[in-house]
Amino acid sequence: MLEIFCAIYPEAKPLIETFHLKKERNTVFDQFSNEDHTIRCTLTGVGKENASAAVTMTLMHSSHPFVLSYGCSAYLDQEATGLFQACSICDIDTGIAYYPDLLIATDCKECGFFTGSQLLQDDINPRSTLPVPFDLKVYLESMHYKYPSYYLYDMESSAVYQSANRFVGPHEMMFLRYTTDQDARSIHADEVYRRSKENIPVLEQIIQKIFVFHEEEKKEMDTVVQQFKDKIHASTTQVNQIDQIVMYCMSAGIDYVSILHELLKQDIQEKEDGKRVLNAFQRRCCGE
Amino acid sequence: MHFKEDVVVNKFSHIYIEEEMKDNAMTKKITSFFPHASKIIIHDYRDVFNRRKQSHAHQKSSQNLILAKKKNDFLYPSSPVCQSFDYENFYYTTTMMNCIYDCEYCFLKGMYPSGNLVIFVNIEDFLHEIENRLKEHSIYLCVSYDTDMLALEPITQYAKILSEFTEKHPSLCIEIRTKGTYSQDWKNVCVSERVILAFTLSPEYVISHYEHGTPPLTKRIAMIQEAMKMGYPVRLCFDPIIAFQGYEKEYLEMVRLVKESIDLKRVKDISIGSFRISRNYLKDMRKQYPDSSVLQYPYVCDHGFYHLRDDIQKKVEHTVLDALDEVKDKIYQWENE
Repeated sequence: MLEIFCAIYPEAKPLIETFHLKKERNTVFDQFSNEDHTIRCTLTGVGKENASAAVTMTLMHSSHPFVLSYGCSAYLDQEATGLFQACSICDIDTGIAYYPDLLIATDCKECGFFTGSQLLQDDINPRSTLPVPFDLKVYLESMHYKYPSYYLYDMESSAVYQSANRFVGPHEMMFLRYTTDQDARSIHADEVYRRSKENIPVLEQIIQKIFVFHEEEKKEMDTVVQQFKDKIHASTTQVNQIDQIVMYCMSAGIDYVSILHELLKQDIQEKEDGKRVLNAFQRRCCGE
Repeated sequence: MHFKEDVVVNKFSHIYIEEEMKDNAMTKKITSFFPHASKIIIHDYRDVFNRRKQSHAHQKSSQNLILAKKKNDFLYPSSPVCQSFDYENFYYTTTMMNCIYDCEYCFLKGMYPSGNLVIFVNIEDFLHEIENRLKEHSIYLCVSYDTDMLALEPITQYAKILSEFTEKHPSLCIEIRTKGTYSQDWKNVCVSERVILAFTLSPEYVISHYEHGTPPLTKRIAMIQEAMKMGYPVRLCFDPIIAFQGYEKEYLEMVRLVKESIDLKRVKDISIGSFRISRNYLKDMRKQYPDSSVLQYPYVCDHGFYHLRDDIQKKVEHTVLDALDEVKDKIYQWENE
């Protein structure tokens, strides 16, 4: 399942419209999914703690997920416009960097993202009790100077990476951000929505590629395998042995089903009969 | 409609470079071969190489490069599954982690958490450490266990550097193991009786089914012929020998071709060993590669290692041993203790 995480509704709205996602009921975080349950978009809320909670809650019940973190961000470089993919994500609160794999060809520009806990704005946040510990703008300017490949700032990416990594690998995550502002007070919801909508054609292509990349080829064992295990009253060790032989046959294109059907015709009463037949199964499958 | 190969990036599309090594001469030399690659500066190679839950299989198909500084552990004592050829003080060194080739049965897939290729660019520190150890005793050093050094010779020239170093140090003997290479850069390796070129040979069936990206058997044999003509001591490694349906015919054909093309009396020695691997490695590898028949084969496990069942192991090894009977004095066979 493609699990998309956006912080706020205006970022997600174009995706909801394009992929006809319907709101799910009785969820802790607002979630929207399509009819065949291959895409789900979760609104995490702003900030690392919210993102972490939403990702963890979602992925705990997700089957074979691919995580796409998408949203707007502030830019530290005047020329940073458009849609960007994170090649690295540095949490400015801890200084630790995270690296999602870059295996899917997106054609997006790549850069480093800084993730922090504060809103990037000149004014004091009226909701805060204490003054902020440092001037974020000044700090980011100096960090961008020292690490010029980092030129976007957001408030969720590092948390999404850390939480998602409990469930998926770095090859199953992608972080995309489009730039909107250099000061959070200067951007409005309509503008966030408008700029998000501009990315839809590119996002559709990327999502198609994600589905191809992340396709799960599940191979099921034939039901005759269980019949065989039951017939020989297989012990745990024998069950593992049979499973391994069947895995080998499936990978080598050996017709284990016919072999098992033949062996099932044998008279198996005692434990020794079961062992003998199991050994015969292995010998036949391995061409001995 | 997209196919998987259409949606992934090319190999070496990205190069991760440790900040401390970004101005290093070897870093600049290597990156000059990949002018279109995106360069990503990192603090420590382990931040990328040791990430949790990586997929060796996914990364291998779009392998990226990591250039780093090795800070310690330049020499390791050898593994019990490796042949020592009667040498004392047997070590191996890891100037690179992972290989450009993609052999399905390779232990690197289980040993390393990542499929990306790490090159330690501070080769001079390796030489310094070897020199220090040589003050204590002689060394037999395998330099190409965790990679195929000759396959990467065009961009690193590490085999040349190590061979020249060996030439200057009489108590050092090195082995450079390879499955062959398409480039001619290997010929720059210093010819010395203490620089052994060890060629892994497999039947064409094994090469085409399991040793992806490696040169075919005929190419490897041609390379051996050239190496011997140039005066390199050559070792032939029939290792690992793999069991599959029809293996006997394939291995006999391979030996026939080898005997027809190479004067075995002139090779330095020959090693033979059937497939064996650490239990933990194989467990991981089987999860990552469910479609690999060589990995899914029902091996037996004892003393922490998976290997062929004893009777089958004897049979497969003797297929090759018996065919090489005339040079049995040169053969080292891996013993399962």
